[in-house]
Amino acid sequence: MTDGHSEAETEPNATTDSATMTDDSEDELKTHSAGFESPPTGETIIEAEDVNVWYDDDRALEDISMAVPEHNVTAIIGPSGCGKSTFLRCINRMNDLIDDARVDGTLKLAGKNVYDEDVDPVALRRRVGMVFQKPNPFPKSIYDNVTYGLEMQGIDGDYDAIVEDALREAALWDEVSDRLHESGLELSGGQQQRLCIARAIAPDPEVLLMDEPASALDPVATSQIEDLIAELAEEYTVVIVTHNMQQAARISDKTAVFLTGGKLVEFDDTQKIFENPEHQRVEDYITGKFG
Amino acid sequence: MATDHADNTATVSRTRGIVFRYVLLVATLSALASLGLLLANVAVDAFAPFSADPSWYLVYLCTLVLPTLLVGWVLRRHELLVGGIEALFVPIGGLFGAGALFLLFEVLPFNVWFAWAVGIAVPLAIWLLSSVAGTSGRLRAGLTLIFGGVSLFGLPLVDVSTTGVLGPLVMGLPAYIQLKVYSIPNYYLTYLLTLALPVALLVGHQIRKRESFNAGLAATGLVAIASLSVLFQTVVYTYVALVLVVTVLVPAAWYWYTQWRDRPDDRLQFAFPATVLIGAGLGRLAIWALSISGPNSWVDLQFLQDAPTRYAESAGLNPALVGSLLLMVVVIATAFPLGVGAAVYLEEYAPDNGFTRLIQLNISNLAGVPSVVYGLLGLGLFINLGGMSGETISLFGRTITLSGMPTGSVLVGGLAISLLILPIVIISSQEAIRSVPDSLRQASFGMGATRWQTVKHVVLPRSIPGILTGTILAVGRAVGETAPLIMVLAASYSSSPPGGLLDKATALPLQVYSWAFEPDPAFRHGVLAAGVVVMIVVLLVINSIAIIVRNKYEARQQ
Repeated sequence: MTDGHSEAETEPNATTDSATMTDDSEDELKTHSAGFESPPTGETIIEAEDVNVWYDDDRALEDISMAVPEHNVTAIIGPSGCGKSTFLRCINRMNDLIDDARVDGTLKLAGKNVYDEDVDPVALRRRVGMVFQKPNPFPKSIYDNVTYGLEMQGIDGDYDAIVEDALREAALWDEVSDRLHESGLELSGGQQQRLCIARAIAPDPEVLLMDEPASALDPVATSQIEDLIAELAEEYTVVIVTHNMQQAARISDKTAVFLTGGKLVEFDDTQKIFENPEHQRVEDYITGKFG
Repeated sequence: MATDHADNTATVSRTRGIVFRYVLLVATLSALASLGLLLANVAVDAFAPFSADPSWYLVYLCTLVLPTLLVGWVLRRHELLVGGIEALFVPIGGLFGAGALFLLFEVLPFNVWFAWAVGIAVPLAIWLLSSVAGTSGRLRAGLTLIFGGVSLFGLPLVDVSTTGVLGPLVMGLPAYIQLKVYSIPNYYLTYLLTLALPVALLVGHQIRKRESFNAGLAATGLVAIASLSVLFQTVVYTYVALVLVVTVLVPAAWYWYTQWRDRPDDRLQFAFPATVLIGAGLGRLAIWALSISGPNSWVDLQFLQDAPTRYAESAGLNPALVGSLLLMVVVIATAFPLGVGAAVYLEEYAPDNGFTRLIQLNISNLAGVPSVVYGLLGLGLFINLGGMSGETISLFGRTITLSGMPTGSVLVGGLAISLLILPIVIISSQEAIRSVPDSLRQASFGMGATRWQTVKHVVLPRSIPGILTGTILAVGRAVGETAPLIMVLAASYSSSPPGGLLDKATALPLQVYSWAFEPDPAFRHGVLAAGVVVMIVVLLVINSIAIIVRNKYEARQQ
């Protein structure tokens, strides 16, 4: 990547990969590439301190504090209704769209509290991509799905190249390259979800949030998505909510365990969580005694 | 398992179920029968089928009905009948389009038509030129808006008395041409320039996209020459042939050509339109040659073209037809933007609080308010309050004399009716918007789209079929409304079609109603039934447009 940077400056026909990237993100890649060798100790990009969420009077999250390292996969696991998705939606302020949701505490993205007055949630969401539980491509062509974010965010550039790049990164290019202008709804469920991933990474966000991205898919599609997530972590910070513990164990570097009542019980390296958790309740949950 | 110890000979009584089923059947049949009887009665009155020579039926049976049934049966076995019927309905739909155009030309003097066509051509040309030049969408839209505004309405800040080169700039092209330009093309040349030429260019462009540059050029020339030649063939200075070329011949040829080219396996379907059209032509020829008298139908071209008279034989409903058409234009122009706007606001923007719920409740209730009440509202709102005749206000330095809204005018009637259907439009649009899955909105917001972008790019494209269907059906209801029109004192009798939106007008249902009280039974039966048939056909056309629009958009979204 760093070599590609110097090429990009001298060569006008640089690879589309570096051409689509802003200067800032390249600098970031350079500075962090040193610490990237030994995973769970990347620099913190998301830092939650005492985050609480209420829906009306129901408390959905209770004093969540955790620090998500950059260029890692961080998994959030826990039983249904424990607030995993709620926490994920705090990061890009999707909870703002729910009328009676209220958030307090601080949640910093790259050092800036996203709930500060001067933060525009729309601008925030342009830095934080999101993939949802059910594949939800727009009823538009595959091409238009991928360029949607670019158009909405007013990003100029060689759209053909960006689309090809995003689809290649999402491991979908080979399957759809000859029918880019057909509807995205004609794809299979797994392909649709990879299209949604391509759509999310096309505008080159810093963080990629995934809300149980494989839960509506069959095992083959699921393993494709899992392979993809591991690759995406090289370029993006991935935070993934899953109720599938094996999945978390397979793909994540760090794991947060939420238990009933919206409490974060344990947050540590994935290996430690699954082999030697601190809390008895976490061990019970992971070994399947409840949840 | 359960049957192991059940008595196999036991039965469960189904008597009540069977009785219930047949009661339902009887209810359905009697409803259908009463409606069928009503329609048959109207049809017999309107078309007077028994007045025809029996041999008339025999001729058409042999040339049209039997061949059509035969070909239809064969095509059905090949599953091509639907395609065949579609191929036939394109020219028939074109005929209705032609009828609407004739009515429009009747209202709009050709010099006004020409002036506005020139005014619209300017922004259109700007748009096309800038898209050829490859400017960005925003700049293109801005340029078009600015030039379009100046071209159509002029610059408001300058004194009107300015003449000379600045005249068109100040007044806008349409007004300038109508006032100051004396040498404009005569009316058949006007229609040639404004109808045939754009259609020829459009067809040429489409062909060029599919085939090649030369083919496109050839198609343009072909349509242009066809239009020109019918003009000079019918030197009687009529534009009827020209309009038919543009609305019937060209669309049908286009549809047949694309079908023929894209679906080579289905070419047999053209047997159906061919049979019907040739059969009808042959039958007509035979009847003319043998001089057989057909049914003395009340519904004929004369009925559509003439004004009502004292004599049933020569009565027509042209003024009412034109009046209804103009009313529809006013209704669509006001109810659609207001209704859809309100629906989008209530669904996408309004906070979920008591006030919103109160408004929602009121809208639902207003949909059920009797139409007389809306007429009363229209009377109070648009005539008593809005009829500020003779008052002057000054706007942007111009002094404008308010001409008010005359009683019974197309404008007031249309506004009253659009108040009536506004709640229906709002509710059906809201339902269409609500049916857009929330996951799509979430996806859009998650991509960093603003609410406006989400509404524009995700919600509206997805809900527009439902919105259009609901609106068109509501307009269909508006066509049949009488009470608001009576309340705003629309004419029940009018000898000439309204010339503009401020003219007093009548509408189809009012005209039909007034015929019911004529002493002459020929009016009360024949003419009245013919009026009802015309009204039903108008409604059917409107509803089919709704269905076609919905199918088209739904197919696009799959």
